[in-house]
Amino acid sequence: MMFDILQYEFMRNALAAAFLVSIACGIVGTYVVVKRIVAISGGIAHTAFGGVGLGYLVGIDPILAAVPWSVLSALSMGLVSKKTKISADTVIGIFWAVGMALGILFIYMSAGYAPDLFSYLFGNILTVPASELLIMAVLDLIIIGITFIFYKEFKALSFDEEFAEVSGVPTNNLYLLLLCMVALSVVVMIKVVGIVLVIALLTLPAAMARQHTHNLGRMMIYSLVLSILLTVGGLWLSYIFDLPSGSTIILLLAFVFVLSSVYKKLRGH
Amino acid sequence: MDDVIDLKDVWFYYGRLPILEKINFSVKKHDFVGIIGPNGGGKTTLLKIILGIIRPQKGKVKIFGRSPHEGRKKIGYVPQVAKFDREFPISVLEVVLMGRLSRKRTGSRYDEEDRKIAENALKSVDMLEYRSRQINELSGGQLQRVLVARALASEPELLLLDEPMSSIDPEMQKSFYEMLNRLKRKMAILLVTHDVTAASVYIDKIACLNRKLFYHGKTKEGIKHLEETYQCPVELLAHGMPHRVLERHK
Repeated sequence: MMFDILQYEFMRNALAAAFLVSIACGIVGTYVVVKRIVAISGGIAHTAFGGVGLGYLVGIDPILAAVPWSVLSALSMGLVSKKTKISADTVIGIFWAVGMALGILFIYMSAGYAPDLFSYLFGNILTVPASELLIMAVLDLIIIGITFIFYKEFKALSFDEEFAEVSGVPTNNLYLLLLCMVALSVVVMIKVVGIVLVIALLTLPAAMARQHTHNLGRMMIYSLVLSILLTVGGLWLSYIFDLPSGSTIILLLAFVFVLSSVYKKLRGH
Repeated sequence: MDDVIDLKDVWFYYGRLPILEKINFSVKKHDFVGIIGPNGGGKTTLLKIILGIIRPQKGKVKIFGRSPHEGRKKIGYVPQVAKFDREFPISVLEVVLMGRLSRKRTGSRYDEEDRKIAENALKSVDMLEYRSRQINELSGGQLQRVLVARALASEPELLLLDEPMSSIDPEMQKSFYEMLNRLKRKMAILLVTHDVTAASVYIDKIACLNRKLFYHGKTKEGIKHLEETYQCPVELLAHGMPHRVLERHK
């Protein structure tokens, strides 16, 4: 049954998308969870909608337009919350809403109508074209490269920012770089689960992985594997029961997270 | 020979509120100095100035004769245990390896030599057998020792400890002080605490910080001024048996 559906190109693309999403989710999700930047990541995800809208307006692939847009908004969010006296959660709230508002405005202003707007908000893993798979793969490679170079610095930043700074690590810039990685992974995930649900992919697999390992590198691998299994599993469930893929994936993730927590509790760790 | 720490006429304001006033302070090689003061007295601010995390509005700060930004590489900083996320997925050895960070280039990995230095640092705080443990399996006092080992792994010339006694059981404090006393031969030590009883006979000099700094040589003499700063009686504990250094205030 699983192999039957592989004869369709959109299914093969969907599986590739699940894999590419899981790379971003394993690596960046791990940092989002241990560095506790879930809120700002949610902000970055929603602000990305402005980029999608801009893509419609100027007539380029919305995913492509979302790349510079979300990187710039991640940088601005990070800078404004660090350099001004406005508190971080206020900054996040403002960017979140303004990003969404701009997205809606841009789409309203663009000549045509936006038939697959819904898929950007809530995801549709079955509509990922090969061209977007390529963009996702490139973004994944950038994420892997950055993590490889700054692995020990990111670990120090997440564990003890002050000590890292005293040790000569440029913590402010590194934090901004981390937010940029969040922005890139948001773009990787938009088509699969949608802007509104991205934050679930950035947190749930990593949170589960954390329950079963105490090593940062292993946490990344575990959450990558969990993410592949559960996105493909969710995709399969959505296929047989004819449900929206994005929300099926997220609900499966949340369900398994509950199981994982209960299991951990029972084993008494 | 340059001083380890040299602060001249340092002022720090938060808005218009003075946090530190006219601080003159120095630490020399092999000094074991304690800064004592109430919470809100400016201890954290002073630490951050020494570590180059914030800059004072006025005054000169020299760390090993250089700016804090350059000189801090020789400081082994031991932060408070309380601020750590104990559930962070990291092992004891990984924490200590972080002490090598200031000596490593971006993109490089910790190597065998770093591991050896980290293990030696763990050995010197009697924590080597815990190297593979997770930090959430440690007591507060054990984590404190691991953080000291991390600072030692950077091969510092000054050990800077922020409230090191607050997470250690009273009976363990003695051995912690003895450990510091051993380290004193190799480096200067500056310890910051709000806990007056933590002032130990091992500390050579005590300074009292409550917006202003009273810095007075030897421990016993220092205590008199300590009382002026606190406006309350002060007791000193010697190891094993507590004894009163000064009479109680009337």
